[in-house]
Amino acid sequence: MTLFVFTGIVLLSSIGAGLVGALTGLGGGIVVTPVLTLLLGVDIRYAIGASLISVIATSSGAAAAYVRDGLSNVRVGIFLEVATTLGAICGALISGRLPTGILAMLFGVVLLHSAWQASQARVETPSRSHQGRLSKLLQLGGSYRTADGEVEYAVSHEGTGLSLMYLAGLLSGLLGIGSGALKVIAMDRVMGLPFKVSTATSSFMIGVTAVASAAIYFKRGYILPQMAVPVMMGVLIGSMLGARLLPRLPVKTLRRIFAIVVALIAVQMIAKGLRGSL
Amino acid sequence: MKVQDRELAKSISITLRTGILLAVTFGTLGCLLYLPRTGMTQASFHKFQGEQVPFASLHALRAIVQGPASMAERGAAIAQIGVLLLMATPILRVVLSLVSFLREGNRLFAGITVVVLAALAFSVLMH
Repeated sequence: MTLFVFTGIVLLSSIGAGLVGALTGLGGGIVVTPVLTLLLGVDIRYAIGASLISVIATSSGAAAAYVRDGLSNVRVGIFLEVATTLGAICGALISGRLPTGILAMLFGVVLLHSAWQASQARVETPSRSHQGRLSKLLQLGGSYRTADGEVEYAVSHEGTGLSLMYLAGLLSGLLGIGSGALKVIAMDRVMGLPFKVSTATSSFMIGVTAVASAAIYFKRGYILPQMAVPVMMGVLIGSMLGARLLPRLPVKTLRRIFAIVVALIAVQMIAKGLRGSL
Repeated sequence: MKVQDRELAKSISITLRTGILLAVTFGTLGCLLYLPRTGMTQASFHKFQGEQVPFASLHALRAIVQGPASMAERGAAIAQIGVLLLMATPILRVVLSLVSFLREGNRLFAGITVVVLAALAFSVLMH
């Protein structure tokens, strides 16, 4: 295959990756990695590098719009980033001392369950009565625009949320994955943020989590321009399109897309654990 | 959204947009230089070359752009600088949030942001 064709395929599939990544808050690595490894026969390490670039590009491309439109909750994002970054460092430090295969399988099972749960509708209560104590102190609650006007929402269970974010960071450091799935689930199911706010806030956060690993992989030569640049361009285009689409799509559709993508990640995780190819 | 949050959102949004614009500019320029020259060669990335590739440090990239390298190599190096600019964007976003929290006198969030920044610096400089 010539470099022209290679670049074209990577660019086109990355547009799809950015679109999916922006809508789900997951970053699009799930599309980029299989296209590069299975379809194009790229070494897994180059694919990891490219998928991290995909996560950063999704985050920047989508969050530029989400933050401006007030869809990302910036305060919640920054508050939770503490736990994810610390978790990621601890994960990187203890990696190699834990059986990652078993961990990956366990994580896969948890994700399968979460995918099923996320597909179920949840009543999004617009009241501020459930506001947690820490949330009041940090003024984490917020509001976002919907078709029916401005909707206020409270943030609760901040402690559990922080612990889950720490776990998300830990797993991403240990298993070398973006942990958008756990982030969205923690905000949506535990902390009580509306689904769209959860995915938009996750999109906002994942860039910071990914850049920590990307910097390390960059120095190890995992990131090649011939691959990273078409990924970056495609994902930026896709994620900007996705960010324009998200406010208009019904929550039900978004939940369905999210559930399917998370289920795919779960199956991939379990397969990797079984094969021991982590 | 609260008034100060609107300011913060605006500055974050502008940071991200500027980062994207710079990354895309360098990426496009680099591609225009290397792709026409190497586009018909075989794309083979099935073998990992590790740190031998000259794209793994800022120092090496600068040497290629300035040095007596071929136009295709220079293009690839310029494109890679675009990727580095994309990676710098989230970090810059955290730094600017810190500035913005300090200016509005929000010590609590300034403290939180410092922790995030320190953790980030640790992982970037660790290896």
